[in-house]
Amino acid sequence: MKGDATKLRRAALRLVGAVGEEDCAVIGALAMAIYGHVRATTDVHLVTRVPLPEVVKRLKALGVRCALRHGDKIEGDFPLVRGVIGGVAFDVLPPLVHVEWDNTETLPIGGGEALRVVGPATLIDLKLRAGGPQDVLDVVMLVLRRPEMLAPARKLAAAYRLADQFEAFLNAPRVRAKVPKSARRRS
Amino acid sequence: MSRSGRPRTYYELTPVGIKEAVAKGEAISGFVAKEPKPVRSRRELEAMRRSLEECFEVSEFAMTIQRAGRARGL
Repeated sequence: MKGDATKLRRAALRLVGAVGEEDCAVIGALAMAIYGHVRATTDVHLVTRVPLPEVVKRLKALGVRCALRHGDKIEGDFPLVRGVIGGVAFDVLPPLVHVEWDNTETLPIGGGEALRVVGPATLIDLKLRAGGPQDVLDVVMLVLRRPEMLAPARKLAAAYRLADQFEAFLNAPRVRAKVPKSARRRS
Repeated sequence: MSRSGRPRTYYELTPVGIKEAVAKGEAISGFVAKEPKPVRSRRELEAMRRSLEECFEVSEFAMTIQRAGRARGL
């Protein structure tokens, strides 16, 4: 299992290296884990300030299989680069929301390696912008650990028209039970 | 179905619709702008690193059983 764990880690580091360490940050489940909510994931998600066609060029130059997907703009889809690196699926997203690049954090992860991650507010904004059920649940799990973020996240969920789903997850006893009291910060 | 699960919002170009769209736009744009850069203690950074490591491990376990299931045609 330890060897397998290296595979996902290696994929994340390779992807970051290929896109450009200064120009991208980890989002998605890996970022959620960094901020305290650990769950399994089968892919790596990054946000980048590099134009996506350039991301494709950089990745393909390293032999990484990927493609730029545009989605349906009228339906609110966003473009992204999707591919597979070292057997692990990945998405590289453009900054769909305002990203404070100066406020991203570089987390040393051992072995002389580091991963850059967006701040928790940016992560919440990106998650609610994406708006899928797992995204909303992730945000709820995060604010249960960080009660100081509950009020602004609630306001943001309402702005994204996700208030009902947000409140339903927030008030679900089974969801609340997943956050041990010891993991909850005092606001 | 769109890629994101969020229901679409279409505002009418009326004073009421514009007011609502502007208010929601401001709520969204103001959220991240207030984010301060935190100063992390060594202990906090270590906890973050451990959480990430745990995520790598549970994820790989999930991927391993997913592969095993696929191999058996499940």
